[in-house]
Amino acid sequence: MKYFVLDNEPTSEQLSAALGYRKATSVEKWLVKTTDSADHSLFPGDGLTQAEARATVSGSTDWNGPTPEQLNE
Amino acid sequence: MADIEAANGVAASSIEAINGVAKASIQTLSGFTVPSGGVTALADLEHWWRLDEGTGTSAANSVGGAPALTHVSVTHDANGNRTTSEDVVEYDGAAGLSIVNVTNDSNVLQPVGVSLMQAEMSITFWMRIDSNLSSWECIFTATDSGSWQDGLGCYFKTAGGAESDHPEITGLWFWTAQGEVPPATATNYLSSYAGAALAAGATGWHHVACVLGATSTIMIYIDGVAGTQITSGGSVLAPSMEDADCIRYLSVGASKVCTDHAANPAYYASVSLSDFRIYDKTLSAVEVAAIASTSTVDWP
Repeated sequence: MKYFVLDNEPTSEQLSAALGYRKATSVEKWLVKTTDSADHSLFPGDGLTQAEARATVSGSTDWNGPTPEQLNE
Repeated sequence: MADIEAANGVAASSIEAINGVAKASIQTLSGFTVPSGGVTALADLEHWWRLDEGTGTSAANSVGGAPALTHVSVTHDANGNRTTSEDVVEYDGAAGLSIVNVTNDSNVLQPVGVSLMQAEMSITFWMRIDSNLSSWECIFTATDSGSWQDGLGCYFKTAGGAESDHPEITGLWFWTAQGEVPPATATNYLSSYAGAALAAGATGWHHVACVLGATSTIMIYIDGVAGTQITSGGSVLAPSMEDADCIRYLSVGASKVCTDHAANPAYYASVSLSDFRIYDKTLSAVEVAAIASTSTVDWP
Protein backbone atom coordinates (compact mmCIF):
# COMPACT_ATOMS: atom_id res chain seq x y z
CA MET A 1 0.00 0.00 0.00
CA LYS A 2 1.05 3.57 -0.65
CA TYR A 3 -0.44 6.64 0.99
CA PHE A 4 -0.47 10.26 -0.08
CA VAL A 5 -1.32 13.35 1.94
CA LEU A 6 -3.08 15.95 -0.20
CA ASP A 7 -3.79 19.61 0.50
CA ASN A 8 -6.87 19.53 -1.71
CA GLU A 9 -9.81 17.19 -2.00
CA PRO A 10 -8.90 14.25 -4.23
CA THR A 11 -9.96 14.59 -7.85
CA SER A 12 -12.12 11.98 -9.51
CA GLU A 13 -9.06 10.80 -11.41
CA GLN A 14 -7.13 10.36 -8.19
CA LEU A 15 -10.05 8.59 -6.56
CA SER A 16 -10.26 6.19 -9.47
CA ALA A 17 -6.74 5.07 -8.57
CA ALA A 18 -7.41 4.94 -4.82
CA LEU A 19 -8.77 2.37 -2.42
CA GLY A 20 -10.25 5.20 -0.41
CA TYR A 21 -9.40 8.27 1.58
CA ARG A 22 -10.05 10.10 4.82
CA LYS A 23 -10.11 13.80 5.62
CA ALA A 24 -8.35 15.40 8.53
CA THR A 25 -10.50 16.89 11.26
CA SER A 26 -9.07 20.32 11.86
CA VAL A 27 -6.96 21.04 8.79
CA GLU A 28 -7.56 20.85 5.06
CA LYS A 29 -5.74 17.62 4.35
CA TRP A 30 -6.73 14.30 2.86
CA LEU A 31 -5.03 10.93 3.24
CA VAL A 32 -5.43 8.79 0.13
CA LYS A 33 -4.76 5.06 0.21
CA THR A 34 -3.64 3.30 -2.97
CA THR A 35 -2.44 -0.13 -3.93
CA ASP A 36 1.17 -0.74 -4.86
CA SER A 37 0.15 -1.17 -8.49
CA ALA A 38 -1.90 2.03 -8.74
CA ASP A 39 -0.81 4.94 -10.93
CA HIS A 40 1.13 6.91 -8.34
CA SER A 41 2.03 9.60 -10.87
CA LEU A 42 -1.43 11.05 -10.20
CA PHE A 43 -0.29 12.05 -6.73
CA PRO A 44 2.36 14.46 -5.48
CA GLY A 45 5.58 13.26 -3.96
CA ASP A 46 6.80 9.78 -3.26
CA GLY A 47 3.99 8.85 -0.92
CA LEU A 48 4.09 7.21 2.49
CA THR A 49 4.30 3.64 3.65
CA GLN A 50 1.57 2.32 5.92
CA ALA A 51 3.81 2.80 8.95
CA GLU A 52 4.53 6.38 7.92
CA ALA A 53 0.85 7.05 7.30
CA ARG A 54 -0.04 5.65 10.71
CA ALA A 55 2.61 7.79 12.34
CA THR A 56 1.19 10.82 10.55
CA VAL A 57 -2.38 10.38 11.75
CA SER A 58 -1.99 8.46 15.01
CA GLY A 59 -2.47 10.59 18.05
CA SER A 60 -2.81 13.76 16.01
CA THR A 61 -5.58 16.18 16.87
CA ASP A 62 -5.43 17.29 13.24
CA TRP A 63 -6.64 13.89 12.15
CA ASN A 64 -8.48 12.52 15.20
CA GLY A 65 -9.60 15.54 17.19
CA PRO A 66 -8.98 15.68 20.94
CA THR A 67 -8.73 12.32 22.64
CA PRO A 68 -11.69 11.25 24.74
CA GLU A 69 -9.39 11.69 27.70
CA GLN A 70 -8.73 15.30 26.78
CA LEU A 71 -12.42 15.97 26.18
CA ASN A 72 -13.34 14.44 29.50
CA GLU A 73 -10.93 16.56 31.52
CA MET B 1 -40.66 -28.06 14.70
CA ALA B 2 -40.91 -25.69 17.60
CA ASP B 3 -37.88 -24.76 19.65
CA ILE B 4 -37.26 -26.91 22.70
CA GLU B 5 -38.32 -24.87 25.71
CA ALA B 6 -37.73 -27.48 28.39
CA ALA B 7 -36.48 -31.01 28.89
CA ASN B 8 -37.56 -33.23 31.78
CA GLY B 9 -39.13 -30.16 33.34
CA VAL B 10 -35.96 -28.13 33.22
CA ALA B 11 -36.22 -24.89 31.27
CA ALA B 12 -33.86 -24.74 28.30
CA SER B 13 -32.15 -21.69 29.74
CA SER B 14 -31.29 -23.63 32.88
CA ILE B 15 -29.86 -26.73 31.22
CA GLU B 16 -26.15 -26.91 31.89
CA ALA B 17 -25.34 -30.34 30.52
CA ILE B 18 -26.88 -33.36 28.82
CA ASN B 19 -25.71 -36.80 29.88
CA GLY B 20 -22.72 -35.22 31.52
CA VAL B 21 -21.67 -33.22 28.46
CA ALA B 22 -21.56 -29.48 29.06
CA LYS B 23 -24.02 -27.65 26.87
CA ALA B 24 -21.32 -25.52 25.26
CA SER B 25 -19.46 -28.67 24.22
CA ILE B 26 -22.37 -30.49 22.66
CA GLN B 27 -21.73 -30.93 18.97
CA THR B 28 -24.33 -33.48 17.89
CA LEU B 29 -27.91 -34.20 18.91
CA SER B 30 -29.48 -37.20 17.20
CA GLY B 31 -27.74 -36.49 13.95
CA PHE B 32 -28.18 -32.71 14.06
CA THR B 33 -24.82 -31.02 14.04
CA VAL B 34 -24.62 -28.15 16.46
CA PRO B 35 -22.27 -25.36 15.48
CA SER B 36 -19.12 -24.71 17.41
CA GLY B 37 -19.93 -22.46 20.31
CA GLY B 38 -22.91 -24.43 21.51
CA VAL B 39 -26.67 -24.28 21.30
CA THR B 40 -27.30 -21.31 23.53
CA ALA B 41 -24.73 -19.12 21.87
CA LEU B 42 -26.11 -19.87 18.44
CA ALA B 43 -29.72 -19.20 19.34
CA ASP B 44 -28.85 -15.71 20.51
CA LEU B 45 -26.59 -14.77 17.63
CA GLU B 46 -28.05 -11.60 16.14
CA HIS B 47 -25.29 -10.49 13.80
CA TRP B 48 -22.44 -12.40 12.26
CA TRP B 49 -20.03 -10.82 9.85
CA ARG B 50 -17.49 -13.49 8.96
CA LEU B 51 -15.29 -10.99 7.11
CA ASP B 52 -14.05 -13.78 4.90
CA GLU B 53 -15.24 -12.60 1.47
CA GLY B 54 -11.67 -12.03 0.33
CA THR B 55 -12.68 -9.20 -1.97
CA GLY B 56 -15.06 -6.30 -2.39
CA THR B 57 -16.52 -3.61 -0.16
CA SER B 58 -19.26 -5.53 1.60
CA ALA B 59 -19.21 -8.12 4.37
CA ALA B 60 -22.31 -10.29 4.32
CA ASN B 61 -24.23 -10.93 7.52
CA SER B 62 -24.69 -14.64 8.09
CA VAL B 63 -27.85 -14.03 10.11
CA GLY B 64 -30.79 -13.89 7.78
CA GLY B 65 -32.17 -10.42 7.12
CA ALA B 66 -29.49 -8.68 9.12
CA PRO B 67 -27.47 -5.90 7.51
CA ALA B 68 -24.10 -6.22 5.78
CA LEU B 69 -21.04 -4.24 6.80
CA THR B 70 -19.68 -1.77 4.29
CA HIS B 71 -15.92 -1.63 4.01
CA VAL B 72 -14.09 1.65 3.47
CA SER B 73 -10.45 1.49 2.39
CA VAL B 74 -9.81 -1.98 3.79
CA THR B 75 -7.72 -4.71 2.26
CA HIS B 76 -8.35 -8.42 2.27
CA ASP B 77 -5.76 -10.95 3.34
CA ALA B 78 -6.14 -14.33 1.70
CA ASN B 79 -3.37 -15.64 3.90
CA GLY B 80 -4.82 -14.51 7.17
CA ASN B 81 -4.22 -17.96 8.56
CA ARG B 82 -6.64 -17.73 11.43
CA THR B 83 -7.74 -20.99 9.97
CA THR B 84 -6.26 -22.79 7.05
CA SER B 85 -8.68 -21.50 4.47
CA GLU B 86 -10.12 -18.22 5.62
CA ASP B 87 -9.73 -14.72 4.26
CA VAL B 88 -9.68 -11.92 6.79
CA VAL B 89 -10.05 -8.15 6.63
CA GLU B 90 -7.08 -5.92 7.32
CA TYR B 91 -7.57 -2.50 8.85
CA ASP B 92 -4.51 -0.37 8.22
CA GLY B 93 -4.57 2.04 11.16
CA ALA B 94 -4.76 4.99 8.78
CA ALA B 95 -7.87 4.95 6.58
CA GLY B 96 -9.64 1.58 6.77
CA LEU B 97 -12.86 0.78 8.60
CA SER B 98 -16.20 -0.97 8.17
CA ILE B 99 -19.56 0.49 9.08
CA VAL B 100 -23.19 -0.41 9.31
CA ASN B 101 -26.00 2.06 9.83
CA VAL B 102 -27.73 0.97 13.00
CA THR B 103 -30.02 3.93 13.46
CA ASN B 104 -33.13 1.85 12.97
CA ASP B 105 -31.84 -1.60 13.74
CA SER B 106 -34.44 -3.19 15.95
CA ASN B 107 -32.42 -6.28 16.72
CA VAL B 108 -29.46 -5.34 18.86
CA LEU B 109 -29.51 -1.56 18.67
CA GLN B 110 -32.87 -0.18 19.56
CA PRO B 111 -34.81 2.53 17.71
CA VAL B 112 -34.11 6.18 18.25
CA GLY B 113 -36.00 7.77 21.10
CA VAL B 114 -35.84 4.91 23.54
CA SER B 115 -32.98 3.06 25.11
CA LEU B 116 -30.72 2.57 22.14
CA MET B 117 -28.95 -0.50 23.31
CA GLN B 118 -29.86 -3.50 25.28
CA ALA B 119 -28.68 -4.09 28.78
CA GLU B 120 -27.53 -7.55 27.81
CA MET B 121 -25.41 -8.18 24.76
CA SER B 122 -22.05 -9.58 23.75
CA ILE B 123 -19.68 -8.71 20.92
CA THR B 124 -17.02 -11.22 19.97
CA PHE B 125 -14.35 -11.32 17.28
CA TRP B 126 -10.94 -12.64 16.35
CA MET B 127 -8.18 -10.06 16.19
CA ARG B 128 -4.58 -9.92 15.07
CA ILE B 129 -2.48 -6.88 15.88
CA ASP B 130 -0.67 -5.92 12.69
CA SER B 131 1.43 -3.07 14.07
CA ASN B 132 2.06 -1.86 17.58
CA LEU B 133 -1.15 -0.10 18.52
CA SER B 134 -1.33 3.45 19.79
CA SER B 135 -3.65 4.74 22.48
CA TRP B 136 -7.30 5.15 21.50
CA GLU B 137 -7.13 3.00 18.41
CA CYS B 138 -10.62 1.52 18.22
CA ILE B 139 -11.61 -2.01 17.37
CA PHE B 140 -15.26 -0.97 17.32
CA THR B 141 -17.59 1.70 18.64
CA ALA B 142 -21.28 2.52 18.61
CA THR B 143 -21.72 5.98 20.05
CA ASP B 144 -23.13 9.45 19.46
CA SER B 145 -20.25 11.07 21.29
CA GLY B 146 -16.81 12.07 20.05
CA SER B 147 -15.61 11.66 23.61
CA TRP B 148 -17.35 8.31 23.96
CA GLN B 149 -19.70 9.38 26.72
CA ASP B 150 -22.54 7.27 25.48
CA GLY B 151 -22.92 3.94 23.75
CA LEU B 152 -20.16 1.39 23.91
CA GLY B 153 -16.94 0.36 22.26
CA CYS B 154 -13.54 -1.26 22.49
CA TYR B 155 -10.22 0.51 22.22
CA PHE B 156 -6.54 -0.01 22.90
CA LYS B 157 -4.68 2.17 25.35
CA THR B 158 -1.09 2.20 26.43
CA ALA B 159 -0.08 2.92 29.98
CA GLY B 160 -0.15 6.54 31.02
CA GLY B 161 -2.61 9.35 30.83
CA ALA B 162 -4.68 11.17 33.37
CA GLU B 163 -8.05 9.50 33.10
CA SER B 164 -8.91 8.95 36.73
CA ASP B 165 -11.11 5.92 36.35
CA HIS B 166 -8.60 4.01 34.29
CA PRO B 167 -5.61 2.31 35.90
CA GLU B 168 -2.28 2.79 34.22
CA ILE B 169 -2.23 -0.32 32.13
CA THR B 170 -1.54 -1.21 28.55
CA GLY B 171 -4.32 -3.25 27.12
CA LEU B 172 -7.63 -3.58 25.41
CA TRP B 173 -10.61 -1.89 27.00
CA PHE B 174 -14.32 -2.51 26.64
CA TRP B 175 -16.40 0.43 27.78
CA THR B 176 -20.00 1.48 28.09
CA ALA B 177 -21.19 4.92 29.07
CA GLN B 178 -24.45 6.19 30.45
CA GLY B 179 -24.93 9.57 28.88
CA GLU B 180 -23.30 12.81 27.99
CA VAL B 181 -22.56 14.15 31.45
CA PRO B 182 -19.02 15.46 31.22
CA PRO B 183 -16.67 14.67 32.64
CA ALA B 184 -17.03 10.94 32.21
CA THR B 185 -16.82 9.96 35.82
CA ALA B 186 -16.73 6.57 37.38
CA THR B 187 -20.49 6.75 37.78
CA ASN B 188 -21.30 7.08 34.12
CA TYR B 189 -18.41 5.40 32.37
CA LEU B 190 -17.59 1.78 32.96
CA SER B 191 -14.74 -0.28 31.66
CA SER B 192 -13.22 -3.68 31.68
CA TYR B 193 -9.65 -4.21 30.59
CA ALA B 194 -7.27 -7.01 29.75
CA GLY B 195 -3.83 -6.52 28.44
CA ALA B 196 -1.22 -9.16 28.94
CA ALA B 197 -1.94 -11.07 25.76
CA LEU B 198 -1.96 -7.93 23.65
CA ALA B 199 1.21 -6.20 24.77
CA ALA B 200 3.39 -4.45 22.23
CA GLY B 201 4.78 -6.90 19.77
CA ALA B 202 1.99 -9.42 20.34
CA THR B 203 1.55 -11.71 17.38
CA GLY B 204 -0.95 -14.29 16.30
CA TRP B 205 -4.69 -14.35 16.58
CA HIS B 206 -6.58 -13.61 19.75
CA HIS B 207 -10.23 -14.06 20.51
CA VAL B 208 -11.90 -11.09 22.16
CA ALA B 209 -15.33 -11.06 23.81
CA CYS B 210 -16.95 -7.89 25.12
CA VAL B 211 -19.83 -8.84 27.39
CA LEU B 212 -22.44 -6.50 28.79
CA GLY B 213 -24.68 -7.77 31.56
CA ALA B 214 -27.84 -6.44 33.12
CA THR B 215 -26.65 -6.51 36.70
CA SER B 216 -23.44 -4.61 37.19
CA THR B 217 -21.41 -6.72 34.86
CA ILE B 218 -19.20 -5.58 32.05
CA MET B 219 -16.33 -7.78 31.05
CA ILE B 220 -13.75 -8.21 28.35
CA TYR B 221 -12.31 -11.64 27.69
CA ILE B 222 -9.15 -12.30 25.71
CA ASP B 223 -8.69 -15.87 24.55
CA GLY B 224 -11.46 -16.89 26.91
CA VAL B 225 -9.81 -15.39 29.97
CA ALA B 226 -11.74 -12.70 31.81
CA GLY B 227 -10.16 -9.31 32.32
CA THR B 228 -10.58 -6.91 35.19
CA GLN B 229 -13.81 -5.03 35.75
CA ILE B 230 -13.88 -1.45 36.89
CA THR B 231 -16.28 -1.80 39.77
CA SER B 232 -16.59 1.78 40.94
CA GLY B 233 -19.11 2.66 38.33
CA GLY B 234 -22.20 1.24 39.95
CA SER B 235 -24.82 -0.61 38.02
CA VAL B 236 -24.70 -1.08 34.29
CA LEU B 237 -27.70 0.38 32.54
CA ALA B 238 -28.57 0.18 28.91
CA PRO B 239 -26.07 2.55 27.32
CA SER B 240 -27.82 5.61 26.04
CA MET B 241 -27.17 7.40 22.80
CA GLU B 242 -29.06 10.59 23.16
CA ASP B 243 -28.96 12.50 19.92
CA ALA B 244 -32.16 11.55 18.16
CA ASP B 245 -31.38 13.49 14.99
CA CYS B 246 -28.19 11.87 13.81
CA ILE B 247 -27.44 8.80 11.78
CA ARG B 248 -25.42 6.44 13.89
CA TYR B 249 -23.16 3.57 13.12
CA LEU B 250 -21.55 0.51 14.43
CA SER B 251 -18.01 1.03 13.18
CA VAL B 252 -15.32 -1.61 13.09
CA GLY B 253 -11.62 -0.87 12.75
CA ALA B 254 -12.05 2.76 13.80
CA SER B 255 -14.52 5.00 15.63
CA LYS B 256 -17.16 6.58 13.43
CA VAL B 257 -19.53 8.40 15.72
CA CYS B 258 -22.86 9.80 14.62
CA THR B 259 -22.91 12.23 11.77
CA ASP B 260 -22.99 15.52 13.68
CA HIS B 261 -19.48 15.23 15.13
CA ALA B 262 -16.44 16.62 13.38
CA ALA B 263 -13.77 14.13 14.43
CA ASN B 264 -15.33 11.45 12.39
CA PRO B 265 -14.18 8.82 11.83
CA ALA B 266 -11.05 8.69 13.96
CA TYR B 267 -8.76 6.40 15.91
CA TYR B 268 -8.14 3.89 13.16
CA ALA B 269 -6.66 0.60 14.39
CA SER B 270 -3.97 -1.47 12.71
CA VAL B 271 -5.50 -4.90 13.14
CA SER B 272 -6.90 -7.76 11.15
CA LEU B 273 -10.32 -9.04 12.13
CA SER B 274 -12.34 -12.13 11.48
CA ASP B 275 -15.67 -13.57 12.56
CA PHE B 276 -17.27 -10.50 14.15
CA ARG B 277 -20.42 -11.49 16.06
CA ILE B 278 -23.08 -9.80 18.19
CA TYR B 279 -25.10 -11.91 20.59
CA ASP B 280 -28.40 -10.85 22.05
CA LYS B 281 -27.44 -12.02 25.53
CA THR B 282 -24.82 -11.91 28.22
CA LEU B 283 -22.47 -14.73 27.34
CA SER B 284 -21.24 -16.72 30.29
CA ALA B 285 -17.57 -17.36 30.87
CA VAL B 286 -18.15 -20.96 29.78
CA GLU B 287 -19.78 -19.85 26.56
CA VAL B 288 -17.03 -17.36 25.82
CA ALA B 289 -14.41 -20.03 26.38
CA ALA B 290 -16.28 -22.41 24.10
CA ILE B 291 -16.43 -19.86 21.31
CA ALA B 292 -12.79 -18.90 21.77
CA SER B 293 -11.69 -22.51 21.65
CA THR B 294 -13.12 -23.16 18.23
CA SER B 295 -11.14 -22.42 15.13
CA THR B 296 -13.81 -22.92 12.53
CA VAL B 297 -17.51 -22.25 12.24
CA ASP B 298 -20.00 -24.01 10.03
CA TRP B 299 -23.33 -22.30 10.44
CA PRO B 300 -25.54 -21.40 8.76
